[in-house]
Amino acid sequence: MTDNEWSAILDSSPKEAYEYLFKNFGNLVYAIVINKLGSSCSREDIDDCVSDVFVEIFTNAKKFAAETGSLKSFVSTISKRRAIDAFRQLSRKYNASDSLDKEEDAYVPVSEENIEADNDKKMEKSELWKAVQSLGEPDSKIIMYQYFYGMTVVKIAEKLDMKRDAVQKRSTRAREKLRKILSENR
Amino acid sequence: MDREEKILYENLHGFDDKTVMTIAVEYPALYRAARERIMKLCVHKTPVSFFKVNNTKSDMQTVTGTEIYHRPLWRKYMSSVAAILLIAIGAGCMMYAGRNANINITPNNNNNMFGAGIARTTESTSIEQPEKSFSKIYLIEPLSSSATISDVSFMECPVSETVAVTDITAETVQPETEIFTDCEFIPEDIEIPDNSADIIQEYVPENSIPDNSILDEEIPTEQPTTEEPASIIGAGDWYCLESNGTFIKYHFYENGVICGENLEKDMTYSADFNIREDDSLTFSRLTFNHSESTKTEVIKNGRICFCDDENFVIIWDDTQDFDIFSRYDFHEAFNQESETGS
Repeated sequence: MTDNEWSAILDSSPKEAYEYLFKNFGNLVYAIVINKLGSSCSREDIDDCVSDVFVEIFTNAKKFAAETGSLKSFVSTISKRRAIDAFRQLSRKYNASDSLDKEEDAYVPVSEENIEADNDKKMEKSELWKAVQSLGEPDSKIIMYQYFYGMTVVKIAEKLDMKRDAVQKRSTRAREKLRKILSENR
Repeated sequence: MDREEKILYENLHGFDDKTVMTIAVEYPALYRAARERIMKLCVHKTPVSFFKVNNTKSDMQTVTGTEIYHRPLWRKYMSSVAAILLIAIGAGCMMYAGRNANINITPNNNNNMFGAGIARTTESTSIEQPEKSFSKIYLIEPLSSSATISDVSFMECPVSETVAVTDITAETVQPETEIFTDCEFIPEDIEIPDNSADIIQEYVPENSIPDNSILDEEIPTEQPTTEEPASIIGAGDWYCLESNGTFIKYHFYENGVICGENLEKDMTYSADFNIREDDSLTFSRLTFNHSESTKTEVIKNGRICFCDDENFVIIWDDTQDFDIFSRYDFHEAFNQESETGS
């Protein structure tokens, strides 16, 4: 289904439009929200934020125009902004201090030191991401599911069709590998 | 969470958009339960107006508040099987308990120590009566125990090996065998007529003989006549010699014979024999002597039945000298009689 077709079925079949949206962009919205909230918020907050994203997408669907951009970027933008809003609300609620406050969308006083710190942070994240990708499967999946999405070992074992003990052992070995990789790179 | 894990948690977030999109494609994380949960939230939060098509309610909004509960199929079957098993076990236990309760509840009112429904009083007495005084019927100890003549003065009715001496009246006795039916008292003094020996019929009631006796083999199997036993045999005592050398005293009454007691082994007798047509002997005088005492009892009229062609059983009213350990041949009896004599 193209973006124009999706816009067309919004009036005739809202349920189908909703399901298409969720099916094709559910993981993306979830990843974006987790990327923003994963390290400091609970599972319920994340689910709540994801649902808010879809509600906002659906309610603002008529503003989407295929000519101006893709549906994917439309969904990504709304997801990102909604995630930031949720993070701020939850930060005020839980009084959480997080390094994400110094994220690109947050207001941060511009200074050389801040720019350098940000760049260093980004470099570290990039190296870590590459190191995780270099682990190969299923170790990279285990690391991402465990430390990005915050899934439990049981859930990971169920998703990857592995035993719980095997997932635990692989996770430990993967971290050791990452440590070696990162120490070698430095 | 250790430091290393914390660093991973922190640094594996806040990626740029491109990285996040890559993560969403390569590491999709929404599993079915999470997807349905979030979908339900979305539908709940979305205004109803957005689902109405041509002012009609959409199917997304028809059912609310329901939660899809996915339970593994095997759990459903296991729970059903467990429930059926529990019901079956419970029903089986109830049936088993009910069956045992019925068995236990049935009362056993049979207090008869003889096992044949004989009711008797609990009074236990030992009564000595004259030898020919039969005012009452008493049960005795098993026939295996020997009794002296002096001790035996009345009829005894062995019923079973577990019989004890108790006082029993005719009304209470329900004998196991037919010989114990309708027991009646007999007069104390019975005069035996002279011609009482006219007809001698062997009368050996069934089940009147102790289990350890072989009297069945000794006594002829001739059937009694159709006349009443008393008219044939006459009232009085019959003594039968057993193979083990003991005498068994039988009493004949109008309605049958009641087995008597064992007499002491070494009684002897002598008699004047008259052979009858049925091979029984009658004697006008039969003297019985007790070897261990000087007591001599004389039977004025006696009856003897043959066991077979050669041996016989001594039946007497009085006692004569005779060796009771042996079966006696007819000729031996005469010879011995001539030897011993009274």
